[in-house]
Amino acid sequence: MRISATALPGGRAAWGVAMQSELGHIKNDHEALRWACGCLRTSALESFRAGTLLDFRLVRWSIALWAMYRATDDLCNTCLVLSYKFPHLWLPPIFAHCVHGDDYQQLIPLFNATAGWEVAVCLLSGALYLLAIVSLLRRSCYAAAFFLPALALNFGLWLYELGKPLYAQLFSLGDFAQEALVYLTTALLSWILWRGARSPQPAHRQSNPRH
Amino acid sequence: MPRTVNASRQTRDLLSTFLKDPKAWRHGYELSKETGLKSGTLYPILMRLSDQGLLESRWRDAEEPGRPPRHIYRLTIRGAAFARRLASESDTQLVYDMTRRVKA
Repeated sequence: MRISATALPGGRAAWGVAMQSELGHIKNDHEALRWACGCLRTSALESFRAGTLLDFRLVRWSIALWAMYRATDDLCNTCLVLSYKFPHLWLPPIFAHCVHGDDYQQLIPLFNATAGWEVAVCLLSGALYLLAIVSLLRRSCYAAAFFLPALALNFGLWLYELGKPLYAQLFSLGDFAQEALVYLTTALLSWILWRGARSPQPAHRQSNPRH
Repeated sequence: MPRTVNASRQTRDLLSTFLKDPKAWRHGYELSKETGLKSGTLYPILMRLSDQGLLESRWRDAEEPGRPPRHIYRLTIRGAAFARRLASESDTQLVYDMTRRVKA
C-alpha cells in the first residue's frame, strides 16, 4: 500500500492516503490483499495517465536496459556484416570467428544480400538507442526523440527484410514471432517515453538546466 | 484538464448506488461491496467523478478506536442531477431495446 500511495502522481496523493486508510478497516486478510492489489493497479494506471512513470528509477533503468539490448543487437549485426564483407578491416576477432565455420555460415547468403544502406540504417538506429539511453539516465525529455526514430528505423528495416525470400528460408515462424514480440515491447516502451515527454514537467525539474 | 466522465457500465452502477440515498456519505469499501467493483476499478472512477465536480469527499473519524479515519464520498447536487439524467437515459434505452425485440 505504501508503494501504491507513493506511486500516485502528486495531485493524487490524498487519494493514496484514502486508499491506504480504507485498508485498515478490512478485517479479512484475503480481501485486504485484493484491495491492496487493486490500489496498486490504480496507482499504476494514474501514473501512466499522468505520464509520470518515468519518475521511477526502476522504470527508467528498465527502458534503458531494453534500449541497450536493442543497440547491442543493431551494432553486433552491423559488425557481423562488415566483418564478413570487409575482412581486411580490423574488427574485433569475435565477429570474424562467428562468421567462419559455425551456424553463422547459414547467414552468409543474407550478408551477401545486405546492401550498404541497410548497414548504415542499422548503425544509425543503434547509435540512436545509445543516445536514448544517455538521455533517459540523465532524465532528459529528449529520450523519446532518440528512441522513437530508432524504433522506426529498426522496424522499417525489419519489414523490408521480411520481403526478401531469403528471410523465409533462413528463419522460422518462431523467429518471426520472437522478433514481432520484441518490436511490440519496444513500441510499448516508446509509448511510455512519448507520454512522459508530453506530460508537464514538475517545477523542480523545470528549473534544472539539463531539461 | 479533467477527463470527461464516461457512461461505462461500471460508472453507471456506481452512480445508481449513490442515487439510492443521494445524501448519505459512503466509504470506499462499502461502495466496493454494493457495486461489486474492485478497488482498482472503483478508485479511478471516484477520482474522475471528483475531478468533474460530481463527487464530494471528506474525512470521518473511525467508529472503532485505533482505526484510521475514513475517506467518505457522496454526489454533489450537479453529480446527482447527472446521475438521474444518466439513469433516465438508460431506462429509455432499455424500453427501446425491449420494443425492438418484441417487434422482431
